[in-house]
Amino acid sequence: MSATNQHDKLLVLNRFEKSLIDLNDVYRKHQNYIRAKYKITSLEMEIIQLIVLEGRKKMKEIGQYFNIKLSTLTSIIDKIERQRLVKRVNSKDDRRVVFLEVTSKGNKLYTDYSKYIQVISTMMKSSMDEENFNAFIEGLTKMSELVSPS
Amino acid sequence: MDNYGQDVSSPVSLESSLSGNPYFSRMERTMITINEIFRNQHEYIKSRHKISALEMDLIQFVVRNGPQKMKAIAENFAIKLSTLTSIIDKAERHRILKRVNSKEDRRVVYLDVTKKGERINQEFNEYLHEVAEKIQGSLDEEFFSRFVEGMETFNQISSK
Repeated sequence: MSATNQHDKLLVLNRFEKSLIDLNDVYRKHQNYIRAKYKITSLEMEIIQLIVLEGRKKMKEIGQYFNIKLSTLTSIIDKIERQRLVKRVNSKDDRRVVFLEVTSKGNKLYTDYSKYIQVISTMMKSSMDEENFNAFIEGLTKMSELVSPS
Repeated sequence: MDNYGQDVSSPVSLESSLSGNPYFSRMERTMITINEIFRNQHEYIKSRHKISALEMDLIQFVVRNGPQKMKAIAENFAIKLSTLTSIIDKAERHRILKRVNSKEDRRVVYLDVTKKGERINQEFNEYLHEVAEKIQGSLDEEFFSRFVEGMETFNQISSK
């Protein structure tokens, strides 16, 4: 590998490290935004989001998806159930199985929040080509796999 | 965006973004991915350094920008001064940050890092560097460069 190539690789790596730091700032602001506007944590918003996007879920499925212990999840769900954003419902086929559903209040809240994502998406579309956008999405997915503890 | 907390729907027409923006549903998923990445990172910070993610952010902020007034920190992190005071009290007990009086004006208090804070910062930067190298190593060169460009654009858009 040539010296120039090596140098270029290092430059991109430096830019990447800087991006990670900036992304951390963006993430923190995003958390603050959700907390201030919706009075819930970003994890709680994600749980609501997952159910809105994929339909009702078992507690166990949610725990696995977000990699949280069931005991921790139980208290999180208790909290957003008290806020009337989600509700526990028993399965009709097997009464022992409990599903989590989003209430209409929860749905409304998510719809409002998703406007923010729509704005970001529109700005992304106008400022990057599809190849970069794909790399952005797939790169983050790959990164998430690589830094995942399990 | 600096319009966090404000109505973000103003700059673009929602109807136009709803119809025919194929980026939207993928962005929805990606927000979860980003949160996941940082949730894991926070767990790592907690288990490795026994401090909270916010404490790590504070250390990094002070190291990068030099000693800071409490007010400047409160503004940057969007925390009330009263809340910040108790956070800093705790960080002082952990011996990662310290309050110092300004030499020019003894009444003004700055926040600085301790030796221990500096060491944690150093170790964490090394960790980030390793992670970054690992990701670069696992991706095709052109793809990686596009990924970085995409991230830069996203960060820019999101912090406007």
